[in-house]
Amino acid sequence: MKPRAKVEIYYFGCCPWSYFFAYGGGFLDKEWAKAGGDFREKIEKLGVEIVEINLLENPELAEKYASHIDPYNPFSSHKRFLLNGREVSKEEFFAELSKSKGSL
Amino acid sequence: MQVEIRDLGNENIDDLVNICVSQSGISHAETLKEGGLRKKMWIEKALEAFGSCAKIAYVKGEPIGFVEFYPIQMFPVLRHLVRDRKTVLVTCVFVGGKRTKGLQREYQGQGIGSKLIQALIKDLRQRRIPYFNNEKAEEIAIGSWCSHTGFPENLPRLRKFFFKNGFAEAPEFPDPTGKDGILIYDLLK
Repeated sequence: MKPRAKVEIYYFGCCPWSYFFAYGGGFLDKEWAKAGGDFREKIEKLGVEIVEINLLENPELAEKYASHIDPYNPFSSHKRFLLNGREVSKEEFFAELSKSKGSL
Repeated sequence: MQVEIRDLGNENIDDLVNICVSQSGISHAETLKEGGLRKKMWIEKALEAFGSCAKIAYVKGEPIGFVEFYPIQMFPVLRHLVRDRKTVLVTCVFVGGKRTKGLQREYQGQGIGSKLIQALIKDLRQRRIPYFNNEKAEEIAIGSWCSHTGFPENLPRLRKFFFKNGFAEAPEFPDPTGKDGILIYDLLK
């Protein structure tokens, strides 16, 4: 049976890089001339439910789930991977989705 | 070199976003560009709630740098920790231009960052801020990657920059990261 999959993305609305890093993005070369590597397109294709939370507009959620982030660093971000309502690691999340890809 | 500092308003939001998501010689992921759109949406709301929250530096009409700032209570985790002062937190100061070895350095080291900071200080000394019940800000805090987090190799240079512009260390300032090194400019002095 396919799991109910959801990703929560916590980002600082004042910083595009926070949003990008929250999706796992980064620089792809040493010259910082190419950016990518994020999983946004992948989870969109898999039909995963995505909830984006601007930390500046949702302090309660930020404090509940992302209290460890550096509030002074606008690059900070956080993400939660949920399968059937249970938080799992990124690795487990994608492994489960991969297993059930046929049913997705 | 003629540098013009303009306040952020609805008419130049794209200038600010385009500096963040540089248009000069970098291959950006679509998600990063999408982040730029999220920033634009946030700025539109912030302008209504707080008034101008950034200053942009222009050279020959081209936006090349900015300083961005908000009432510190906007930031989750910090809102319960801040001391009893009206604090404006600078989230970002950046001056760029054309890229050299991957980095945008064309206009760095030419005093443009100081012009932005001094314009902010001058503005906050006289501006009444709705978020502070129409009272003036009392201090400016620098607690971002500009001072104690972010790129370690740049920290000494950045701290020197802020000291030069009148900031001082504030060891008593709440810092949930435990890293210390928050810098303050006292607007009441």
